[in-house]
Amino acid sequence: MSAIDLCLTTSFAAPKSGANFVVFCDPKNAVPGFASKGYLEECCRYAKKHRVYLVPWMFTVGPQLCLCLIDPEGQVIGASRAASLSMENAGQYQCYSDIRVAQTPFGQVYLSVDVDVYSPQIGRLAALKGAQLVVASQYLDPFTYSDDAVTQGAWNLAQSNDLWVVSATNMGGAVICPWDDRMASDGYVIRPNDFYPIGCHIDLEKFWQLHQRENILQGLNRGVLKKYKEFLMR
Amino acid sequence: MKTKIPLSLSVTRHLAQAVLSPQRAREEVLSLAPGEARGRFALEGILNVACLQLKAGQFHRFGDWLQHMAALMGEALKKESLLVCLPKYAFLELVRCLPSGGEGLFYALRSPEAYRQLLEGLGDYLCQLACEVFDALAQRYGVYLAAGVIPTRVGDSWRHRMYLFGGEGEPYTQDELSPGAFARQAGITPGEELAVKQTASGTFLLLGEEDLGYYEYLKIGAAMGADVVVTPSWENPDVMAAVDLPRLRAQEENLFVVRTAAVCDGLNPVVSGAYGPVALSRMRDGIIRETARGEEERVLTARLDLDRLHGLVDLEVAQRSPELEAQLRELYFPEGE
Repeated sequence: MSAIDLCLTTSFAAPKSGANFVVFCDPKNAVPGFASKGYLEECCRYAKKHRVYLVPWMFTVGPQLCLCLIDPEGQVIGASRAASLSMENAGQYQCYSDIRVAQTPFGQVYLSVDVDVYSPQIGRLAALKGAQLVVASQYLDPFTYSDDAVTQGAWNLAQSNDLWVVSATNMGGAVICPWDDRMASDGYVIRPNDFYPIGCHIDLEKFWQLHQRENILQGLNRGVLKKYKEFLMR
Repeated sequence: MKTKIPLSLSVTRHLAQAVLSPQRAREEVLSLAPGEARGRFALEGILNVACLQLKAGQFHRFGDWLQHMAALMGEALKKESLLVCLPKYAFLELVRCLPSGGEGLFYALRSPEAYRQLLEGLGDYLCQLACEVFDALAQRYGVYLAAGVIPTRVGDSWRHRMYLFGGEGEPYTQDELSPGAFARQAGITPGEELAVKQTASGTFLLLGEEDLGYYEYLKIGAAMGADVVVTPSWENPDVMAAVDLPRLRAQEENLFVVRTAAVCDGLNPVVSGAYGPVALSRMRDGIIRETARGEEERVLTARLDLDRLHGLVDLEVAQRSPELEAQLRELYFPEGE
């Protein structure tokens, strides 16, 4: 498994030198449907030009709010559609339930679309499907924004599922690791900020070798879940 | 497999039983003055809770500890608290008060092996002693007392069992469902049941601190009707992790989570608090009340508005997806059972 040299930056800004994984954070809401095709084509050219894996900003295709992962050849190798919607988006888009994890040389990556990051079920589903890294792109209301929105979403997702999470919002980027006091005492490897480009070196394999502890999912008491599944699935 | 009990522990047990028998301890608790006020004066739809953020290891004599507890209970009752919550290993304060070896045994928490030895040597006695003492305290002050974890033998194994005293009849208990690494290394086995306690003043669920890592337990509890989750904790290893998980779980499941920590060696700042849905918190951050991050002993009280909690609309229910649930079911129970 290769290490990630992550770069969070605004759409089409040149990545940090040496970056192999770029995530776009745009100050606007999702790319509208009429502009999505052109935006994605440009993203594919960007990935190929800079030889990077790229997660563009959220975009719209018909009633779908989407994210995708593009490889250094400019090919889309993974995509996610919103499985839950904010109240503002509820009339505009539809929900989909196909939670997929993309295989990359860095490990298995799940793309979390907008408010999916707040859903504990969706995060758990991705973790149980083998995700090791989550890229969570989200549009947050700038007038009510506080860093706590990232704690409620991306941070919670990371700690509840032992996942690394790259949070990309219109208000800035952050990198969160599963809690371990040797790496980051509060889980934030990089706290939310918008001083782009934001760089971070992530080596998932080394992290888990260094921090030998049981994965949180191994402690899940499945016997109890089974016994009370009618309450769990209610 | 049983660990051989060291001679010193065996001697201590006999000494302890001779000097501080559970029955005598109970009588001593019941002889306490009831204080200015007694509990059970709850307003309808309101639950006042108190977190006794105790400083560990202050007392070496049971009588001194008891007087101190009486003072703290009095403080909680002044705020009309009906539910009083103790930190996770509150029972260890009783160990420290034992006639010999108490102080040494207190350090059982420093290694799983020492903790296991403590349980094998004194566990049954301590369980009986702690149950008598905390039950009597709840009775004396007319409150529900969430007494933290009291290790309890179940067959050949030990469970970290949380107790809520003060109800009618037997106490409500709940075993930790996902004990942490320390407990598992000490031979604590996970619980097999999850139940809530319905009372006239709310429906309670006891969950271990590590259990809060799993939203599933709170979801099951909420579906069973729980509106207040009580989580006993010890010293926080990390403030952020300790503070935020209870707060975030409260928001996810639309219920209150009450967490009580203990002040130990003063190395880590500790936080106790009551958390709830964002809409019910003054600053819209999910914090109903919280202690400052410090190393002080204190009684934190909070007013939980159950009526307003029941009036909240659960938006998640409106967005339920049977397809997502089917996928989850498949992964939770891979053999298709």
